[in-house]
Amino acid sequence: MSYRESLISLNYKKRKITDRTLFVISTVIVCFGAFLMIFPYFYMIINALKTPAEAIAGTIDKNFWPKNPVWDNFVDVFTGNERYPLSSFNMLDAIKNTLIIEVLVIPVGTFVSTLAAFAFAKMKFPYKNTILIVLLVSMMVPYAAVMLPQYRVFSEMQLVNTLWPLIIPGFFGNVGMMLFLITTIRNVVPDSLIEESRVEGAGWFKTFIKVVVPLIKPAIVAQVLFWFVGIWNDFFGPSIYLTDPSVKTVQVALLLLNDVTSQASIDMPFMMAAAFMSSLPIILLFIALNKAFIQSNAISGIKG
Amino acid sequence: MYELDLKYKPKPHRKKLTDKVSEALHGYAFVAVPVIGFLVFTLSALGFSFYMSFTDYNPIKGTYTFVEFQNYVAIFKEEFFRTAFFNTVIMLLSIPIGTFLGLLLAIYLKKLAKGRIVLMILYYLPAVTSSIAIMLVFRDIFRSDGGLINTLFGVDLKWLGADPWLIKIAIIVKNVWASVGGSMILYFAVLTSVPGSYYEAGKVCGANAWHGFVDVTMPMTNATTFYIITTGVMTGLQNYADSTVFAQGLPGGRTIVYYIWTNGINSAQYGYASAASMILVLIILVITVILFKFSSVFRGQIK
Repeated sequence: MSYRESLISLNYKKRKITDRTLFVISTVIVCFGAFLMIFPYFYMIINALKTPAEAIAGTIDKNFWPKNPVWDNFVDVFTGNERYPLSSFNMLDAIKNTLIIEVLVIPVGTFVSTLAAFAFAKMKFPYKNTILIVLLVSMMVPYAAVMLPQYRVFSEMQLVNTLWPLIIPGFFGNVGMMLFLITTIRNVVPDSLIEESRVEGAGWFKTFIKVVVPLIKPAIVAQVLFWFVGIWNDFFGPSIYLTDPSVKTVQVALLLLNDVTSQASIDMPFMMAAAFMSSLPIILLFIALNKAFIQSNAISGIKG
Repeated sequence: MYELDLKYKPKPHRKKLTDKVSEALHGYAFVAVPVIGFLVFTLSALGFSFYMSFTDYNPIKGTYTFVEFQNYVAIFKEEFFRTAFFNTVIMLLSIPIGTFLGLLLAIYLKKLAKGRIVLMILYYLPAVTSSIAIMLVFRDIFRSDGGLINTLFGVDLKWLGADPWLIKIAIIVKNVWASVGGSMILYFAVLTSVPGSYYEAGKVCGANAWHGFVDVTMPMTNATTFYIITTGVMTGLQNYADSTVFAQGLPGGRTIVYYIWTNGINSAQYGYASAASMILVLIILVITVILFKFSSVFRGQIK
């Protein structure tokens, strides 16, 4: 072993030791970070188990744990309590309203977006790229810039305080989803398969249904998941159009519990239980299907 | 070859021509719905906002006169708009912080043999949780009398009060917490595509961890960093929920979109709101152009 080689190997060993210490230190930091990540969820649960007075008095050093855990709030958010009878806060109605939007928008919007994605990915027609770029740029237009005129039109049509202003735009598809599926179709569906189907006499639409859709099903499912979560968590649109308690979706209904302008103080445990229960379906969905969520998020980032 | 086809098989060629027309017609039909959606919900609405930003339109009376650039001049003289603009820009600080932490996490996760998916799920959880639920919890955590943060650090600060800085710090902390997971996932995907031999080569040449980071990781992840920052800035500029839910309309937490909403829907200063929304469009347009120009440059580095 030459002097130089031994120096390198010595250097290497030393580095191995510092690498290990560095790894241990980062493990501690990352685990602490993970604790910080779940802490707010944990905080939601333990505060939901307290009495309102306990929740207000509770700090990290005293009354942090509920003395006598009350589990009622997790049920009461669906059935109402004295402070919030069903007439003032109805979680089931809010979930129902949200699901109406999901069920109407997602099938239609997904069909529209997938079909358009197929045309952009595999078909030839004049000005195709120009149209695509225009749609792409439209994605960058902030909602705040189109919100006021849209609001005027929907209020002229007497549709404020109905779910329609949140449903109708969804029927025209989702450009983000379309963009994602264009890339998927280009990568996954070979031209030869489409030609084959065409030569056999299938029309464009039949080719789309029989050849393209089965091949890109996983990508469609992942995008539908994202859209579902997006509508569930949507706040801006619903907060503008839904002021009447009976039509509120989950997120805007939650805010009924945080009404600081009213005289009575906030029922913190009830609100925490509601916040947790309203997030729970999405959290469970995410944990069950984490690979689909994580992968499609990662792909959209790389392609962007 | 095509010429030969024409000579010997005239029929299939003619069929091909009508095929092309039919393909084009089908193509237009397939993209028609999103295009109509764009024309109705985006372009016409944008045009209306643009036009109204030069008028003193009153949506209740339905009357307006043309005022040229007066709205644009007026809003910049207005305290409310200037603070909203300033607040929005300051709140963007959460983006570089969250991005950097996400990168460090992704580097760590890449080295991890076991338990990677559990950590990923934990860190990504806030990305799928409703921002409203998150805000309600963080409002309690930042509460002034006996709140968790105050007790933990032994201070008595009114995070959710009139102080213009404390509320912004609280919002930035909350948004960093919520955004780390998203950038972690994006970085992790890129880092797993970087060959480990690059780092090994660096090590043999005597490069330390820092050099490995600067000379290998950074160039490899430039495109991703650029993507996360620009998309983050674009969504950050449209922040509304933090103003209305987390800050409950406190001046220190008001954003541009909160300004647009207040003037446009609540108090009917429609022209001001439209002008502010056009300024927002302009800023985002500039960022988009930069994104398109530079992303290809960055991507070129990867290939």
